[in-house]
Amino acid sequence: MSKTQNGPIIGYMLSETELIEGCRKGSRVSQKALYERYCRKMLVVCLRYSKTTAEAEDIVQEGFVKVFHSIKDFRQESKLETWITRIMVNTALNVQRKKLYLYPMVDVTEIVLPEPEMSLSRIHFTQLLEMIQALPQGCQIVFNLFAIEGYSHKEIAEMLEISEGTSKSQFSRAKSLLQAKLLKESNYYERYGEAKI
Amino acid sequence: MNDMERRKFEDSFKDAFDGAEMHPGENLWTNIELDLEKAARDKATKRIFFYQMLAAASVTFALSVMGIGYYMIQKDDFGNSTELASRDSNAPNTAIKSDGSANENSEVSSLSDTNTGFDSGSGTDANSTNSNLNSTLSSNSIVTEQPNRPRLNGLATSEAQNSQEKSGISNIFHPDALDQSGSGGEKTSTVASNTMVIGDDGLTSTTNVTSGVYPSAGGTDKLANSVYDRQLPIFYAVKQPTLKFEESSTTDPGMLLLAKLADEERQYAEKDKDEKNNKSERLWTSVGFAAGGFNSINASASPTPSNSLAALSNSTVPDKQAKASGVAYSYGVNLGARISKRWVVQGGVNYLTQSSDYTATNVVTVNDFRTLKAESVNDLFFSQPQSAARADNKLATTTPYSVNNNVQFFSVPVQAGYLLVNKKFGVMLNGGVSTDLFLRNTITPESGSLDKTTTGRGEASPYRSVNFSGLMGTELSYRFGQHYRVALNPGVRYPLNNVYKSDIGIESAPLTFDVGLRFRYIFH
Repeated sequence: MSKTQNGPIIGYMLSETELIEGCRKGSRVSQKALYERYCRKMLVVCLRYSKTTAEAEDIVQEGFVKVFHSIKDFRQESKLETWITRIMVNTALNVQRKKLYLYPMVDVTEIVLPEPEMSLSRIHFTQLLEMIQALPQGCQIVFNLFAIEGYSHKEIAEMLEISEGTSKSQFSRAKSLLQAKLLKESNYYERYGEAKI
Repeated sequence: MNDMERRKFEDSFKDAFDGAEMHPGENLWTNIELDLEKAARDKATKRIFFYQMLAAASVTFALSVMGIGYYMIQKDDFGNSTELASRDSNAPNTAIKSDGSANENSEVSSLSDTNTGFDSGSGTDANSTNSNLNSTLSSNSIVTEQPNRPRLNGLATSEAQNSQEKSGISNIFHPDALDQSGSGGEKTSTVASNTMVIGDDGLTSTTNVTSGVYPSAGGTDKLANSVYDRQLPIFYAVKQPTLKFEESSTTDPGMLLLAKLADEERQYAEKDKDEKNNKSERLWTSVGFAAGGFNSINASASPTPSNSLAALSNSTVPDKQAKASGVAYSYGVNLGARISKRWVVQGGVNYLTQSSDYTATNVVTVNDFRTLKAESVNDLFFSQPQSAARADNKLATTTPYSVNNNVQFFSVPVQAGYLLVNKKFGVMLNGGVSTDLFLRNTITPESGSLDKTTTGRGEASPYRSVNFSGLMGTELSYRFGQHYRVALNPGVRYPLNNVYKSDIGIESAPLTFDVGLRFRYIFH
């Protein structure tokens, strides 16, 4: 019997509702199938909040355990993927909060830079990921929450227990740092015609 | 920066990550699975811990009730005995009071029933006779006060005392020692506590009420004289019936009598109630349901090649299945009878089911992969008669999947119970044995591609057909109405033997903690 006969194949055949029901019953096959379906996307989410892949995998692991324990309470009011993503982000924030406590965020002067003219579509997401991971801790989290997850500065301030001004200034700093890097990439692109990956 | 105006820069980042995927490490799922297993184990441990605590609390409660009950009984007994003891101990030490004409030079002589030193009738010498007479007067018995008066028959106090000392009379009191006869129409008086005071006015008087000494009229001098005249040992020669006087009280005797009657009536009513209680609730039947958890603490799997598949060495399922903890349910009918005031015998029939989950990583292939079965002890082990039939069974590795093992028994418990409290609210301690007849076990794989299998009792089953279990528990009950009682039964069940057949090579005796709810119908 091949390895996929009992797990992944069955998992891919199952609909989202069937997966949820199976996970609610504690079926290991359903849990595995759900994991297989979302683990890759969730790893990217967690990587954005981490500095290393190992750290991100730890968050994914903790996040999925939470997902399987909390799926009984999932009311299907939102998409399953959105719900899992939210759990992953919250798990990542819990992990990062400890570090933020060690390295508290401070207000920095808001720098308004002109929007870069180059399109990000030319850059592979792994490259963007590296840029984000290279940001200082506080900037990285605030940038992710604001720019990608779509939270407002007010919400971010409440989530991270910081002031709204701190959130804004951290974002500005993140943005300026990223713009500087992107500008460098843009110059490289203009020179060599292709983004370096 | 306006939150609402997400500019091109932010949106382009969002778009860049939209749908982005990266492959995680191979071990990530294994780690997640291990975390899930650990969480399940913790949950089961907590549940078992809860039942353990519940059972321990029940037993503690029962023991506490028993202890308090015992203490109360002992306290009552001790109170009664103390009362008696105080009466006895107070008697000899009764304060002996004179009639008020106390004199500094009062003489104290004693009276005793002992013959020691008593010169019966020989009294040739007045001194010696009186000495002997006085020597028989124990200080614990009669105190005679004769201030500044010539001693009876010329006896001096010192002589009397000396005589007493010489005679070596013991102070041991004898109830019969205190007989006092009055002459003529004089009233004879004997003190219950064997003490009395003879005053110098010729009247025997006692004022100590607690000692039970009551005033009486009588001439002690006359008494002594008559004794002396007759030359007889008066306290032996003349025996008078002893009268006991009740404690004097200012309470109206009529009211006292009525109160006493009311008290007796109440006592009889209580006795009747107790007898009625004892006669009621002697036979009953009950239906009940119990739920709890079980855990195989000392389980082990050590199969031998003769009773297992060749590939079994790769299987961890026997160990997992034998050690699996899970939930247990039972329901059934019971019949109970009270055989004495405190002892109860109960028996019945119950349907018992124990369900546990474990994770398998293989499937058992039969007939060259034409049939696939979940990995379980049922298909991995066999007694010798099945060895040929299962010889071609093989194990094939697959992704982990959950397997549920449901074992069903028909149980016949017999228990003895001791009623700690048998009122409207009842507390009973139970203990006994149960004969558990194995019915079947069902292996249900969670994976959709494998069918569940059921194995009944007999040679094909790895389980013993007959098991015996020890039972212990507490019953907390509440009676409502004349015929009904509802009871909560936390208890423990422990198999007295291995539930698997001895030639299988697996040892398991799951300890079950459960809490039952029973409704009892009382016949009479």
